[in-house]
Amino acid sequence: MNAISLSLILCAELFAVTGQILLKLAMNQKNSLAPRRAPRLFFTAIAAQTVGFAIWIGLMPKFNLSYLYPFEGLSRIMLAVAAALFLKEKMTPRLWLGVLLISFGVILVSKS
Amino acid sequence: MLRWFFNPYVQILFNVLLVTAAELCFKKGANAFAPDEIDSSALSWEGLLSGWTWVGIVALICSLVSWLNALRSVPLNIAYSLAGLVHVCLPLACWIFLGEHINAQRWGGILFVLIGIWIIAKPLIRLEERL
Repeated sequence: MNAISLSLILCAELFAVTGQILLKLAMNQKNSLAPRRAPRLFFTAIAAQTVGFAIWIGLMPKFNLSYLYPFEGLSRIMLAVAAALFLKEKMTPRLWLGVLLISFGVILVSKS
Repeated sequence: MLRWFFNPYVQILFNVLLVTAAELCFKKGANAFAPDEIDSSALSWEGLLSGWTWVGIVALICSLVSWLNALRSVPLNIAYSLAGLVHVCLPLACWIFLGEHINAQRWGGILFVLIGIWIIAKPLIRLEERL
C-alpha cells in the first residue's frame, strides 16, 4: 500500500463518479443543455466508466478484495458531493445522514 | 397497464434485482471452470465459456437501461443511494442461492445500509402517495 496505488484507487473512483454525473446530464428530462449534446455526453460517460472499471480490474490482482471494496463506500460520499456541486442537487441533512449510514454499512459489509 | 413498471423508483428496484442476478450468474460462470481454486495472480477468462456468464452480461445490460430510465427524473444522489440496496440483496442472494455464510459484522453492515436507505426513501414514499 503506497501513495501511487492509493491515488490509482481514487482515480478509478473519480472516473466512475464523473461517468455517473455525465450520465445524469445526458438523461435528464429537464435538460437545460441542447438535446443534441445528449449522445456525446452519454458516450463520454460510458468511456469514463470504462476507464474507471479498467483501473479497478488492474488493481484487483494487487490487493485483497477486502482492502479494495471498502472504497466503494467512499465513492458514495464523493458522488453526493459531486452531485451537489455540479448538478446543483439539493442536499438536506437527512440525505447526508442516509448517505453516511449507507457508506458505513457498505464498508462493514465489504470488510467482513 | 404497465405504467407502474416505468415508475422511476420501480426501475431502480428492477435495476437492483438485475445487478444482483448478474453478479450471481458471474459467480456461477466463474465457478463452472475454477471451482474453489483461488488464483489471484492472474485474470481468468475461462468463465466466458459458461452460459451463466452470458446470462449475467445480458442482465447487466438490461440493468443499465433501467438505470438510465430512472435517471430521467430522479436526482442522481437519491437514485445512487437507493441503488445501494444491492449491498443488501447481494449478500442475501449469496446466502440463499450459493449457501455462503454471513457473519455478524456483515449482518451489521446490511442493517446500516437498510437504515440509510429507509431514511432517504421515507419522505419519497409520502410524496409518491400524494401524487
